[in-house]
Amino acid sequence: MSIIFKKFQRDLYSELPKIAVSIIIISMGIGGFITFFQVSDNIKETVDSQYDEMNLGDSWINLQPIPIPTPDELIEYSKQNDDNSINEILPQIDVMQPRLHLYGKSEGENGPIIIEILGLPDEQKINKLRITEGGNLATNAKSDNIPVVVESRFEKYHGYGLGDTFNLSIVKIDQEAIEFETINVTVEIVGVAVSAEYFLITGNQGVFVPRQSTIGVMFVDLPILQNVTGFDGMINQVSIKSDSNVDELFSGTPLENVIISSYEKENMESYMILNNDQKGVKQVTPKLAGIWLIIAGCTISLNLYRIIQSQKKQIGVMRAAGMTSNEVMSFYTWYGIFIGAIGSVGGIIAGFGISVYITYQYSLATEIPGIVYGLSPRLVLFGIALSMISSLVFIVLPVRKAANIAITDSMSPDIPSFKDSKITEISSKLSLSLRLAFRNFSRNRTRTMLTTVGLSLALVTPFALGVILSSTENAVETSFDLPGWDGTAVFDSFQEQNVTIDELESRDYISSADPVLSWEIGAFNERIVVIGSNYGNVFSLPTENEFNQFTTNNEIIIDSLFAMRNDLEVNDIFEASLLGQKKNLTVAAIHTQILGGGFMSLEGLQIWLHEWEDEIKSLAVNSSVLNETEIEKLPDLPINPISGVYLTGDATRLNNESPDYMVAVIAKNDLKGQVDKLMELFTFFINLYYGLAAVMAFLIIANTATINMLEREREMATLKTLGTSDVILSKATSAENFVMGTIAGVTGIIMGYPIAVWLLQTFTYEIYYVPTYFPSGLPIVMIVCVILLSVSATIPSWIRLRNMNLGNLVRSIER
Amino acid sequence: MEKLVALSGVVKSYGTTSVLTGIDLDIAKGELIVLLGPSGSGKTTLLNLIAGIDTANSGEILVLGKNLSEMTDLELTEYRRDSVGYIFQFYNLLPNLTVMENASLGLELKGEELDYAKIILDKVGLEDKSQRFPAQLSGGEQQRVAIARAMAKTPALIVADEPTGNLDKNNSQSVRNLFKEISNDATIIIATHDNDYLEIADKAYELNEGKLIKIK
Repeated sequence: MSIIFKKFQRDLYSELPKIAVSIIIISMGIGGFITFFQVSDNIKETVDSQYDEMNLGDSWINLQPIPIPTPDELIEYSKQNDDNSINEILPQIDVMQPRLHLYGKSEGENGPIIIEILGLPDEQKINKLRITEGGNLATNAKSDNIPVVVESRFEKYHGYGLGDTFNLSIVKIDQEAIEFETINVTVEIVGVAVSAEYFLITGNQGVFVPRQSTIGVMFVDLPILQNVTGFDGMINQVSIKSDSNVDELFSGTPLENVIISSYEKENMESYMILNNDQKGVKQVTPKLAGIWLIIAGCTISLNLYRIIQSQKKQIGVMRAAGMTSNEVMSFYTWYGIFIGAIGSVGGIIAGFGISVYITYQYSLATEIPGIVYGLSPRLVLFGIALSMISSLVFIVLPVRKAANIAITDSMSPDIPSFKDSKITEISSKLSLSLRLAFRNFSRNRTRTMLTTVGLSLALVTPFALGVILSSTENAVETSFDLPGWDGTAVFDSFQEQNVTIDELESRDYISSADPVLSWEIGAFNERIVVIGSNYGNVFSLPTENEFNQFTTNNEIIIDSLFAMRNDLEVNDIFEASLLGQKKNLTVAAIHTQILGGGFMSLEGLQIWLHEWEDEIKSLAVNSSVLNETEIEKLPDLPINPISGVYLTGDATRLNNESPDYMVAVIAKNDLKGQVDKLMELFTFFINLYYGLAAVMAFLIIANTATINMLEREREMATLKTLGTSDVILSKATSAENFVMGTIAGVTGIIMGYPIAVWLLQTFTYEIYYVPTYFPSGLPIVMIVCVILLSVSATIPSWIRLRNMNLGNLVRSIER
Repeated sequence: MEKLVALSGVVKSYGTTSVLTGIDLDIAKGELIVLLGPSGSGKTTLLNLIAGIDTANSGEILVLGKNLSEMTDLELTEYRRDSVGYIFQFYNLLPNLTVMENASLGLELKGEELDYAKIILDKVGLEDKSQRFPAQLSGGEQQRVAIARAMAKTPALIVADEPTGNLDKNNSQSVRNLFKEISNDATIIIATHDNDYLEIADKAYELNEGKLIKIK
C-alpha cells in the first residue's frame, strides 16, 4: 500500500465527522431520489400486476341493452368463446367478453348500499376475478338463494362476509308496463374476490355520487343474473382486449349502432387515479431530492475546503517533497469518490427502506391489495451515478484550490486577514458576543456562502411544502365551503322534479331541497361527471373568470385541469356526447375547485337527456338492428328528471327516513371525512419531508458551527483563558448561527415561494387543481423554526467549548 | 511582603507521565518571577495551574488567599477574568478584533471603562495602530498588543509563557524592557528558556525533573 494511500486512509479517519456529515447529506439526497422513484415504480408495478393478473380488458363498451343473439356474430362469440370466430368478425379484437351491468339496493350494517351488480361469464377470459375466499361464480348456494361473489371490501364497509345472506333489490325495467321495477331476491355470498372493477365503479365520481362507504360491488354468474331479472340472453356491456382504437374497431360493424359509449383503460378513473398518483410522486418529489443534492454538494464542497485548509501545510510539504499539482488534485479527488460511493450505498439502502414504508402506508390508505415492493436495478445504477456526479462536481473548486497552493504560502502562519469595513465599523458598537459573531460571519466568505446557500435550500423545502400543504388544505376547505349545503341525496332512478322537491320540503327537518341532475358525458376521449343544478342557489364555484349564472342551456363550467389538458379557454366551443347524443358546448367558465367535474344549468342537462331519449327511440324504430330489441319499449323519462337534491337541513335524519327511490344521503361531514382521509395521507408525506428537511438543515448548520468551532478553538481557548465565560462564548457561536440562519431563512422564504408555485403547477396539472395559497403566518413559523434550529445546532459546539483543554489549545500554533 | 501566590506540594501528571512532582513556591506581591528550564520541563504546566486553566492532581495552590483547586468552573472563569493576565508565546490575538479591541478585551469582560486600554497601548507604543487588525502587525507588535491586553485590565497577576520565544533579538529586548517597566504595577511570572530574563527578574527558579530550584 502506497504511503499516499495510507495518508488518505488516516486522513479519512481524522476527518471522520466532516466526511460522515457529507455522506449523510448526500445519502439523504440520493435516498430521496431512490425513495420516490421507487414508490412511483411500486405503485405502477402494483397497478400493472393487478391489471395483468386479472387480464384486464383494454376497453369497456356500454351498449344499449341488446338481446343475444343480436347481432349474429356476437351470438357466435358468446356461445363458443372461440377466438377464431371472433377473429372472423372483428379481426383486431383479441378477446371480447359480454357482461350485464345492473344496479341494486340493499341495507348494509352501516346504512343503505347502492349495489353495482356485474353479470360475468363463469370463466372470465378477461377481467378475471381473483378469488381470495370461498368459491367462484359457478359455486352453488346452500339454499335457493342467488349465489354471489362480493368484492373484497364489501364486508368492511357493509358488514356481510362469506356465507352471509342478505336481501337485494335489483332495479330493472319492466318491459311490459314500461316502467322501472325492483326485483327482490335473497343472495348468499359464496365467494370473495379482488377485482379491478371495484376501482372502475368506485373511482372518482365527483361530489355528487358517494364512494366506497355507500357502494357495494358484487358479481353474479351471467346466465343466473339474466334469468333472475328476466333479461334472458341480454347484455348491455362488453369488455374487449385489443390494441386498436375502440371507435375504429366497431366502425361499420353491426355493433356500431348500439354503442352508447366506449372507454379505453387509460381513460378509466381507476387507472387514471393510480397512474396520476405514481406520476405525481415521480414528478414532484425528485425535484425536491434534486434540491437536496445541491445542498449535499454545498456541504461536501464546504467540508473539503476546510479539510484542505487544515492540511495546507501538509500540502506544502508534499509539494516540496516532489508531488505535482495534478497529484495533489487527484489525492483530494479521492475524497469525492469516497463520499460519493459511500453516499450512494447509504442512499440506496435508506431509499429502499423508506420506499417500502411509504408504499405500505399508501396501500393502507388506498386499500390496494397485493402491493408490490421492489428495488429497481436501473434505480440503483442511477443512484450510484448521481451520487458520484454530485460529489465530483462540487469538489472541483476546493480540489483546484488545493492544487494551486504555493509551497511558500503554505508554510506561513494562517492568520485571517481583516480590513476596516462597514461591518467592522457597525459591529464595533455591538456587545462582544455579537461583534465576534458578525466578524466571524465575514471571515470565511466561501464557507459562509456555501453554508448560507445550503441552508437556504434546506429551508426552501419545508417552506415550499408548507405552501403546498396550506394550498391543498385551503383548496379542500374552499370546495366544501358551500353555505346552505348540508348534504346530497342520491336517487336510484330519475324522479320528477316538482313532486319530489315538494315531498322533501314538506318534511319539517328539511329547509330546502335544490334539484340536481347528475350524468356522465364524454369529450376529448375523457369522461366528465356533469352536474346540472340551479347554479348559485346552493352550489357555486370558485372560477377563474367572474361567473354568476348560465345564460344558455349549452353552457358548461369545466374544471381547470380539463381545460388545461384540452387547451380550452372561456367561450371556446367543444363537442361532447351524452350517451352518444352529441352537442356543442360553450365554456362559460373554468372552475378551480379541487374535485373537478363539469357543471351545467339543470334545464340544459334535462333537455340534453330528453334529446338523447328522442334520438334513441327514433333510432330503435328505424333501425333494422334495433327493431328486434326492447329499446323502443323503454320507459319515458320524467318531464323534468332529477337524480338527486342538495339539502339544507338534517341530512342524517333523511338518510334514516329516506323514501324508496333514495339510495343514499351523504351528509357534508361524511363526505368531508373521506376527503380528510386522503388529506391525512398527503399530510403524512409532507410531514415526512418536513422531518428530513429539518434533519438536513440541522446537519448543515451544526456542521458549519462545528467547523467554525474547530477552526477557532485556539481563539476560543484564549478567550476562555482571558476570563470569557462559556455563556458569552456560547452566545457568540449562537449569534453567528443565528445570523446565518436568519439570512438563509429569509432567502429560503424568498426562493421557496416560486419553487412552491412551480411544484404546485406540476402537481396541479397532473392530479388536482390547487390554487396557490400563501398563509401569512408561515414565514413567522419558519423564522421561529430557524431560530430554534440555529440554537439547537450550536449545542455540539457548546459541549466542545465546555470540555476544551485550555492548556494545550492556547499553546498550539495552528489547528 | 504580602504573599500573592502560595503553592505547596503541587503534583501534576498526564497519564503515567509526571510533570510536577511536588512544587512549593511563594510569590510576593509586585515580584517579577522568572521560571527557567528546558522544553518539556513543566514550565507551562506550572503557569497554567497558577493561571487557573488547568488543575493539579494534588497539592494546594493559593492565589490571593483562595484555593484554586476548590473553585468551581465559574469561579475559575471569574478568577481568570479579574485577577490574571495571560501572555502567550504565539500572542493568540483574536484576528477579527482590532488592536484596540484586543487590548481592551479584558476590561470589557470585567465590565469596566475601556479608556485605560488606550493609555496602555500608548505605553507599549501602539496607539497609532489601534485600529489595525493583527494580520497587519509584525510579530513584535503583536506580542506588545498581547502584553497590553494582559496589562490593561490591571490584574493582580500576569503570567507570560515564552513571551519572546517567537521574536528576534531586538524585539525580544524591547519586550523584556516592557516587562521591567510594568513590573512596578503587577506581579509577573515569566516562563522562558531565555537566560536574558535573569537581568530583570526579582527571583528566578529552574524547573528540572518536576522540581523547582531557586537560582536567583
